[in-house]
Amino acid sequence: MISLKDLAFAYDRISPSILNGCSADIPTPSRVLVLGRNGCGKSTLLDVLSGFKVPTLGKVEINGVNLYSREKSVKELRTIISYMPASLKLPPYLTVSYFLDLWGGSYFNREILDTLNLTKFLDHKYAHLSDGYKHRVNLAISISRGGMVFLDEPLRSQDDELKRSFPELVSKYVKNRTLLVTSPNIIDGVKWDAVYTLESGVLK
Amino acid sequence: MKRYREFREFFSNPVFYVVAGIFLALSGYKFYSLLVSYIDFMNVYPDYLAGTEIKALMGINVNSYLFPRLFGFYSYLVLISVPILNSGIGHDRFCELDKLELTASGKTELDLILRKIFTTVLIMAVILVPTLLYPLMTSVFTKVDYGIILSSYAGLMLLVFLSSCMVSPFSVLKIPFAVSIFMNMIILFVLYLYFLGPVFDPFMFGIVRASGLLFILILSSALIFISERIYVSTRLFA
Repeated sequence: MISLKDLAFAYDRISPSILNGCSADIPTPSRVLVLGRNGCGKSTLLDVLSGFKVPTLGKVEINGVNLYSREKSVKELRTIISYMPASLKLPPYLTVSYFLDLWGGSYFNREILDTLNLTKFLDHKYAHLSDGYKHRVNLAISISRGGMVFLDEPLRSQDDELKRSFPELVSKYVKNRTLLVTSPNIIDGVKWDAVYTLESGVLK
Repeated sequence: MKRYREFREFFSNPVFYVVAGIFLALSGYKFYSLLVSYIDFMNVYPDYLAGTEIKALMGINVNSYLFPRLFGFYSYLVLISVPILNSGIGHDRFCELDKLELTASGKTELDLILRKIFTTVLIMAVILVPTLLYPLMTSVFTKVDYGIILSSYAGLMLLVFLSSCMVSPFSVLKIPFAVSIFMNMIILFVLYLYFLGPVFDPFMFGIVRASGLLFILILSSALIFISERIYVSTRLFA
C-alpha cells in the first residue's frame, strides 16, 4: 500500500505550494492514473513518491514505512521503482540497443520492441531519433525495469499508433505490478483501478 | 567495461576527441620546444662555460631538466581537461538521467559520483598513453631514469583523481555545463598554484612522500563525502 498523507511541497517559503495536502491510499498492485493540466504538479508528485524531492509537509508511507523518516528508506524504495521522467534525455551518441542492453530490466523482451515499433531502430543513435521515438525508447526501458512503474506523461508527443498499443503494452508487461501514470488527458483502453485529478495541488 | 556507460559515451562523443587532440598537440609541442632548448643548452653553453665544471655541478640532464618541466606542463593541461571530462553529473541531472540510473538499480548517489571520478581517471589515462612515446624516443639518444618517469605518471594520475574529487561538489549541482566547467577550472588553478603544487611537484623528481599520499587520501575522501551530501541535499531543489 502506498499512502500519501497531507502531502505538501514548495521549493521555498516564498514560492506557492505545488502540492497542497495530497492524500490517497494506493493499493499495490494497482493501476492508477493521475490527470492534471500542465504545471499542476504531476511530475513533482512522482518525484516526491520516488524519493527525488522531499515533501515540505505530510508523509508518504510505503507498506507502513515512512519514506522520508530516514535516508535508507528512500534508497530501498528506489530499488523497487522504475521511474520515467517526462523530460528524460539519454546520452545522444549511444545506440538504442546499447541502452536496452544496459538498462533493460528483467521484464524486457523483444516483443516490447515490436509493440513499440522500435526493432528497426536498434542500431540508431539516440540523437538521430525523432522526439516521439526517443520517448518510446524511454518507455521500453521503464516498463522493463523495477516492481512499480511510474510513468510521467508516457504518451507525450506520441502518434495514435502508440496511443492504441499502450493498453496492450500495459496489460502484457506491467502485469501484477503497480503502475502509476500521469497525463493531461484520459488514457483510454487501460483498466484503471483509480483515476485521480490533481487540481490546485490537491488530489481529487 | 560494457556497463561503464560514461567510458563508452566518451569514445562516441566528439568532446573526448577534441580534448584528447588538444592535450596531445600541446604536450607534443611542449616536448619539442623543451627538447630543442635542452639540446641548445647542452651544445651552446659549454662553449661559454668552457673550462668550468658548472654543467656537471648543476647535474643537468633530461631527467632533471626536460621531464620535470614536461610533466609540470601536463599538470596544467590536466587542470583544464578534468573539469571538461568530469562535469557530467550536473548534466545528467538536467537530462533527468540520474533518476533513471538511481531507480530500479540499487545504485546510490555515491555510486554515480565515484563512477564519474574513476571514468575521468580512466579517460585521462587513455589520453596520456601516447605521451609515453616521449620518454621512449628520448631513451634512444640518452639515458632516461624510468623511476622518475613512473613516479611522474603516478603523480599525474593522482592529480587527475584529486582534481576530479575537487570538481565533484560543484559538478553535482544542477548548474549549466559551461558555467560548471569554467568555475571548476578557476578553482583548480588557484588551488594548484597555492596549495596542491607542493604536494605533486616532488613526484616529478622521483620523490614519493607518504605524507603526500596520506594528504591525497584524506582530502579525496572528504571531498567525495561532501559531494554526496550536496547531491542528496540538493534533491529538494532538483
